[in-house]
Amino acid sequence: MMRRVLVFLLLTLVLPWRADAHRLDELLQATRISVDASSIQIELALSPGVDVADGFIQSIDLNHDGTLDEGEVRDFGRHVAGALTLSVDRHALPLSVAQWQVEPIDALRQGIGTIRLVARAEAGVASGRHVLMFGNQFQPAGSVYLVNALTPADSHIHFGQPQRDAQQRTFTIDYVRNASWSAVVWPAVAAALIVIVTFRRGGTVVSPPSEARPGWAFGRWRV
Amino acid sequence: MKTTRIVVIVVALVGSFTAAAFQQSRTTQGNQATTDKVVAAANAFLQTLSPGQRAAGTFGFDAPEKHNGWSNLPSGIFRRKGVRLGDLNARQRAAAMAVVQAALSKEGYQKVTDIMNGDEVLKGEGGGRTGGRQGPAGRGVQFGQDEYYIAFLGTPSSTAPWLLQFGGHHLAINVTFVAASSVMTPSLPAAQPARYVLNGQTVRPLGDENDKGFALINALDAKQRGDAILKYEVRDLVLGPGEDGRTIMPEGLRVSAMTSRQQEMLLDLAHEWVGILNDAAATAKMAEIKANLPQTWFAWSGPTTNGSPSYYRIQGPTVLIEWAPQQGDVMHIHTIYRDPTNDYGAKFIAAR
Repeated sequence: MMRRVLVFLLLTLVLPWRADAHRLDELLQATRISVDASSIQIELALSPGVDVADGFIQSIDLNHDGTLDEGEVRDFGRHVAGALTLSVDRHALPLSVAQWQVEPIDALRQGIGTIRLVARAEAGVASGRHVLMFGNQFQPAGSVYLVNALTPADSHIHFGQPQRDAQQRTFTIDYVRNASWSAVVWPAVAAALIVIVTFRRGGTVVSPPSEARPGWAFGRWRV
Repeated sequence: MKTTRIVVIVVALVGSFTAAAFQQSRTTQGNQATTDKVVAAANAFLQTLSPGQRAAGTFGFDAPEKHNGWSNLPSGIFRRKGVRLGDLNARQRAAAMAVVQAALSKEGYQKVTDIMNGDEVLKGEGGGRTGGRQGPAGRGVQFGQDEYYIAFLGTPSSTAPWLLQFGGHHLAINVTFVAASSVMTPSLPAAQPARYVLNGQTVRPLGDENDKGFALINALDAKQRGDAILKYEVRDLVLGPGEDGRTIMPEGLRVSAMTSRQQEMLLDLAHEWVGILNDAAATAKMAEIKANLPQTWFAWSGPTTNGSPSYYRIQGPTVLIEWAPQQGDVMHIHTIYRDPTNDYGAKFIAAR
């Protein structure tokens, strides 16, 4: 009986309490991917739990002064970005860290702080169907992952259903970029003007094919 | 010819006014009597406060506290703004809770008090491993009913926009009033412990959310379940605190592929969040969600046996609900309720 009591007391001291306010011994890596006509933006929020926060901070605070200065965070951002992979249509795109935001170091130590990194890749893709692939290999041990595509602000971009691995370390999504109205109309107008000017200079006025006439709504052609 | 033109113009004008009036009625969710009742309760509470307390509990409608003043975290490691219940006398505290009660439904207010009672139980159990550490706020982590805060953003008004913000550990209620309309997004009703005994009664603050979620996933056929169940684990809220203004791409099973019975189950599940708010606003909000069912999705991650630490999400044009057990612990649940078109009453304000 005494032995059971001792074992119980020992377990009570060793095992973690389950009644905790938030994530404890994991690094949460939450990624949001947004796509516009000219670039792809990766926002990565890194939130270490209280039990892994000190080690996480030490991996950034390379001069061990107990603070995270701008240079250290910038270097850390580059290191993290190096562990991310991004491609469109199987062409790898280099990511550069454009912004970072660090919550107070005390908050990080308490396991309630987050470091947010925003990395961008220039990706001015043509209209049509594309495949975006993203991978995160930063600190896989002890990490949990979320990765989601944000609804595009550009109404000409449409996502398909994404695919991920079971841990959400890799993410693949098809998207279609439709040509915008202006992208279609203005080249067409320009081409039409060039044709008209060319033929007028040559003294020739053309008539459209007769079968096309019913569909034209913007006045009559002169013969 | 001239008469015809005049008739056309008159018809067009009448049509425009009718459409505008219809649009206005569609964007009204709630009723004026409810708003007036809450405003009266808010003013009664404010009158019980000292000038210092009143200053601490009131902010501009667009103050940063709107977005960063709420969290799932406990006091001591998250610094809430507003008036702390533990700093109020009994009369002031009753007046504060009367404001919350006036804004919510009977069931919603019960849910809020169940969550707060749960935190009192957590306090009695020692809180957790983080208890006692010095947090950024300069105090150790604190649990219990005293650690809930109430704040007003904007002046309580029957006509102008204002926000009631009430919360503490595992609870954030944001109710925005815009004249007759009210909306409770974004809000975070959570629970730890998710089951406890109080006065001999077992209490599960979010028990129906759990049971109805499992009932719905198990009501789907194999094909539907194959679409609804995500092939990856979701270990946390995707759009929790600090994620205002974001909309993720929906995934899972389209609700249009559900039977009418399954759709009713989904609406009943969503009502667990929507119905926290006063009945008039909740009824209008449910009608809006129902109208958008064809564009709504249901996603699930994890086992389908009740009692498992599984995640689910309901996402439609005007609603996002997430249910996320924390670190595999079914006694520790986080949830979020958002409206991507109307968080903090944005749609109501734009329609004024």
